[in-house]
Amino acid sequence: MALTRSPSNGFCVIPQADDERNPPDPTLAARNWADMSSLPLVFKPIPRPPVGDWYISEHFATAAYDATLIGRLLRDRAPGRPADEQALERLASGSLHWALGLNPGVPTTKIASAVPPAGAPWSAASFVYNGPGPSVRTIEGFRTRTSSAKGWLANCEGSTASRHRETWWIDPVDNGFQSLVNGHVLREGQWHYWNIGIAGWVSAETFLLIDGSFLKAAVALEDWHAGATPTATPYDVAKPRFFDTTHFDRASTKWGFDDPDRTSFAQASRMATGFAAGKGFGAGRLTGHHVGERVGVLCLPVGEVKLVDIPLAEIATTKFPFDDVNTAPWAQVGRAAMEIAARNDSAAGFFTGHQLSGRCGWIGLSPDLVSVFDVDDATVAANTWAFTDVNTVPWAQAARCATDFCLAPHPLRLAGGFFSGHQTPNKRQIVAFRRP
Amino acid sequence: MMDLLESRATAAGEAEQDQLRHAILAAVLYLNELGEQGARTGGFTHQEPGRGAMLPIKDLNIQRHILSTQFAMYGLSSFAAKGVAVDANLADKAFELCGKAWRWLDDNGGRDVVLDSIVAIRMGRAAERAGLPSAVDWLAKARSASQTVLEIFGAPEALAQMLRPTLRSIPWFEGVHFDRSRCRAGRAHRGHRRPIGGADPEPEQRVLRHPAGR
Repeated sequence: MALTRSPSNGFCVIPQADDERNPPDPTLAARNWADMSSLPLVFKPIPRPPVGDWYISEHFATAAYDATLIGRLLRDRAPGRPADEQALERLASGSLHWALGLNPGVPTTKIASAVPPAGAPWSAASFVYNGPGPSVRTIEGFRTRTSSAKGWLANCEGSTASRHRETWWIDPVDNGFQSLVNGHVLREGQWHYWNIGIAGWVSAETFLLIDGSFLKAAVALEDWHAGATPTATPYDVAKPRFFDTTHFDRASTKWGFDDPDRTSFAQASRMATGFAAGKGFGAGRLTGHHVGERVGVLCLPVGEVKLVDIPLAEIATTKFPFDDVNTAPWAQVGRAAMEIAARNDSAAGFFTGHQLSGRCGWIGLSPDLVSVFDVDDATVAANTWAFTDVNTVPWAQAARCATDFCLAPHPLRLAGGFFSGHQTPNKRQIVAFRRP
Repeated sequence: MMDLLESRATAAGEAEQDQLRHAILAAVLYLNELGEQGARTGGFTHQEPGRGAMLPIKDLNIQRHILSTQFAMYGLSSFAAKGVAVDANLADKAFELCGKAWRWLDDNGGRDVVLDSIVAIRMGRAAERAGLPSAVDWLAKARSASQTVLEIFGAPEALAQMLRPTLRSIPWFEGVHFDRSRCRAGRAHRGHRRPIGGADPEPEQRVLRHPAGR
């Protein structure tokens, strides 16, 4: 706690202490801790030959996280010590703000700003690339064929003739991203920010590692105050939720496929069920749509569905019996599922595609979740994915047709839907999922 | 990213949630790839040879592999513990990979008690989730490691007198915090379920009473 009360610790941080010499100075760490009005002693020469000794943002982000964790432990183990908690909060906050600009500053020429600070040779600046307010420049003055990969100009670069041209080995997307740079070096007995030439990375490379450490600390600090509790899943599993699944998503369910138009209904349905269950939802339906590797799945709310294993013997008693879900036509399987739904107090249902030991997985849908209605031939014919006979159309095309119909501007608020498999002259039945 | 998923993603829009999920998947798959390039030994390679921050290469790159493996284990253990909502199978694989990395570090002199305290509590949670008996062992390791960390930092003026490296990115107290948080939750849990006779359940029974998760 003495650290936070020290009048010379104006930035309210935990000081670094690095000594790569062999042997290191055993008094260096305590000296930096006790004497914060002097330049810290650091022996971390970087690179070879060195342009200075590293004293960078990474330590401060990690120290902020540690201060937060100690504070949370303190509150839990010894409540009623608000002064100590406040001291730790100040350390955490101060350490984070070092990267945001509450630090000894940098040479004014190192600041990226549309309107450079005038007059003073030394100015305050944050270590956040693309951050608001004055921030430091990234690596400049090292333009080779491979280090000139960035295809756009940052505001501070002005023009292609500017001497402040950024050095990038990749072409990052110009989407306003922000990232933390390394930060200070100590050189010739003073703070410095070395961002020029081949060694410019020492201060000025942006680093995902520091971004991650900073975010982790900031989240922990916020949660300390807000008393937030972590959640097992980020998704609201009480509502339908659409996902664009990737190849990897599908392969990970063990029922992978890539083209819905060349995949059996049962296989695709197994994948959708596995994917949805993995996210905490009750079930999933393919929309039939696919673009590139992305295949659409609508996940269904966990409280509005029920999973039942239906014996083949029971399926055999329906008007649309089958004994192998992998080979039966999808429309026939769908009709059997609807008949079983009627027997199970469900508004509708579908088979998951799973079949094992004489039983087939079946999902019953709550009346609160679905609306079941008929559409006429003209309506289907007007759809991009029109078809004439539910018994001959591929399942993916029918799924696309139902999805597009349900998502079109409509008096009902619908999240998607599917053809049940039932049809009569000029009528085809749709099971539509309502939005809450 | 796992911290964001766990505590901030519920408030995000669907597109942002998907972006975060895909970013996590990319990071985990990248680490898996580094594990593959480590010849599936449990050691992880580093794809940027010559980085100034890396330790000197000694003993056929073992030194450098140790740092990469420690970092990989830190990231993958977080995913093993919290990544079910992202990809359950991948979370299980991360758990296996971390176990291999732990043994590889054993064999190659790469043990670090601070990292151990973090990884072990995460592995314990992951094993609990999967209903694995190894949960007991991992949680015991976590308790032991976090106790050692507390002893190191509990010495008078310890923080003031120890080196505080500029490149430090593994927090000192993360394992301690989550181990102690788990203990508090466990005590509260036992308080509600204490048998009428007052007997306290054995430690292993306490662990196994937690739901298997899935």
